[in-house]
Amino acid sequence: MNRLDQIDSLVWLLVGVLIILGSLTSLKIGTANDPGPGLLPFLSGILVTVFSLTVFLKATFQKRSEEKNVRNLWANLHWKKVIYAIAALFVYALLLERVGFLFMTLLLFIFLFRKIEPQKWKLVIGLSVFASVGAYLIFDRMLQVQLPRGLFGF
Amino acid sequence: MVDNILLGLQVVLQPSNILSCFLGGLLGTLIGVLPGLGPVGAIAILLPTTFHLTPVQAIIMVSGIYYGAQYGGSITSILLNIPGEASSIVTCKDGYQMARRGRAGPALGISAFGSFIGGTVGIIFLMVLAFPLVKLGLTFGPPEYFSLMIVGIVLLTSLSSKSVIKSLVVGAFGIFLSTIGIDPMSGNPRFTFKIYTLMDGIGIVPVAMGLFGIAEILTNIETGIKQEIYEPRGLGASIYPTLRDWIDSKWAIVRGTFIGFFLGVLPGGGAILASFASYVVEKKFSRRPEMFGKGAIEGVAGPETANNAGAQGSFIPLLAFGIPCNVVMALLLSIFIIHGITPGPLLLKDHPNVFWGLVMSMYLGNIMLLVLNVPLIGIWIKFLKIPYPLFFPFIILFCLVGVYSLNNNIAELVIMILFGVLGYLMRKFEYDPAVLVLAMVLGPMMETAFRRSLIMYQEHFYIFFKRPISLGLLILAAFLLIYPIFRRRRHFLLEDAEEA
Repeated sequence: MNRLDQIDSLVWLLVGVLIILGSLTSLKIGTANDPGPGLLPFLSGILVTVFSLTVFLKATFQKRSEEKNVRNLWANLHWKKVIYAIAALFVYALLLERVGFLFMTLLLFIFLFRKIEPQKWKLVIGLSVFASVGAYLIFDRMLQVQLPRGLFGF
Repeated sequence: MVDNILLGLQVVLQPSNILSCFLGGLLGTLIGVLPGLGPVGAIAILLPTTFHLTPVQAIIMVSGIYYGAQYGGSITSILLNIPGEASSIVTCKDGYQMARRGRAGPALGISAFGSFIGGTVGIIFLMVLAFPLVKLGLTFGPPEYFSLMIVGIVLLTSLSSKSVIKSLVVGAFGIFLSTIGIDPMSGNPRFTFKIYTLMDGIGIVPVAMGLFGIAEILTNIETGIKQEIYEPRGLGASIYPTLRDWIDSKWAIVRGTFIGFFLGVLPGGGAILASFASYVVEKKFSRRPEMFGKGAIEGVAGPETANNAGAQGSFIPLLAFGIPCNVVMALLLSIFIIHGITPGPLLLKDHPNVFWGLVMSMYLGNIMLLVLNVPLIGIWIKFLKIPYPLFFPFIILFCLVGVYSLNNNIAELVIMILFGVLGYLMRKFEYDPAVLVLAMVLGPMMETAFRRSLIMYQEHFYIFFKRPISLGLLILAAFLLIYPIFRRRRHFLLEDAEEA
């Protein structure tokens, strides 16, 4: 039995079933000679379901019991840092337009430099200012990317 | 042919195109040198920038990144025993051993020359094969195209280093993702949940950047890359291989070229498989197999030639049929499409300047890389000394600005981050993100071919089995799926290379 694959295949199985239900309820499947917009999503949903079910069955009837389980996947790793990084990215994306590129990028860099693999403050401030101002000048001023201005209007 | 070559030269020798070729090769080499940033991630990150270029410039530059990375990957393999690229993993075995014996120079030299030979001969094959394949492509109708794309996805899954069934799950999911948005044939919105951004479908750029750029960083953060700064040993007296070296490696280079090119042409193939196959073959053919792993120059020359020839070969399915055979080609396809050019049988006729310009730029690029590679090694090593904790926020910044600059749309940033998390989890649970991207790129083409086949011929699903080429392709796909069940050691090449 392979616990790990049982879990991930069940997640995919759920996804597959949702795709099938979604295609059936919201789209026209059509017939083989007159395919509707729902046909391919429907078929791909069936494939996801069938294949993930196969993964599940294979994991369940696998003879050699492996030591793998979900906790082992994250054992001895800095998983908290990953969560910090993901959270920082989401906050960045959600506040970018309100606060502005320059300030948010500065904050993001300071956070990443301090929180992931802590550096000395001098280096952190120097590199963060360099990166955010440099990126602003290159992308916004030179390449005309139109980065969000936000609070401060620049 | 001569006319075409001249046309290609005319295109390439425009200063702006020379510059794109040069920048592409240089960036590619840099990416090849830096571990933790592969050509897929790098091309994904640079995609938005290429929108500001002309189509020819964009395509020349991105191609340059791809084959440049093959050159760069070998440098770190030989000097530091760190493969900069997956296609240079086998180069570590004998390349690093040569370096430890004070022969880093000839190892770097032979891999640069081998890469050049493999690359340029690969381009000649490409030129010769282009016309017949394009003729074949023109006879294809929608059913044949559909079946060919099925073969493409199946091949990538069966060559993937992860479980085949898991790759199939991901492939089917990728096809589903590609159907999100307004249906091009009926105009119905599909799975958009009234979210405005989803109307146009999920963009391939945020997905690829998330799955390869962000996910890679998350994985690296977690393991906490502790870089040890190796001082590479002296480069040896000369970078030029001796006559003895050439005699030892001449057949390895010849075989590497052929193996590399033909494995590159296969959908799902490309540089990685080519290099592994070459190493195994060289060891089998060698009169002194005991020297492999102890600094045999053939073990460097063969794979390094093969990965470049493979990189060139993998352009063929894209240029002749419009079907990408690996993720880099899938990204290249999206660049073609964004610039309003459809690669495939009509590319040669409609845009000869793009086709021949690209082919000739590969020659130019290979020559420039050969000339540049050796003098720049010192600089590449300096780049390697930048500690990862100081380096990764800049990659994140590139991803963020790159995706935002596509449409100035925050929602696409969120999509990228979500796919970053998905990619991180997929790596954990051993699902192959490359299959997802390929399926997403092929999805819309597959759907059009599929529905057209059904509507045009009014023969239900039988149409795919009635037409001989289509049937043949489907049988091939079925065989590829069933074969590994009978043959347990699916990754015999990879395993042999591991054991070797």
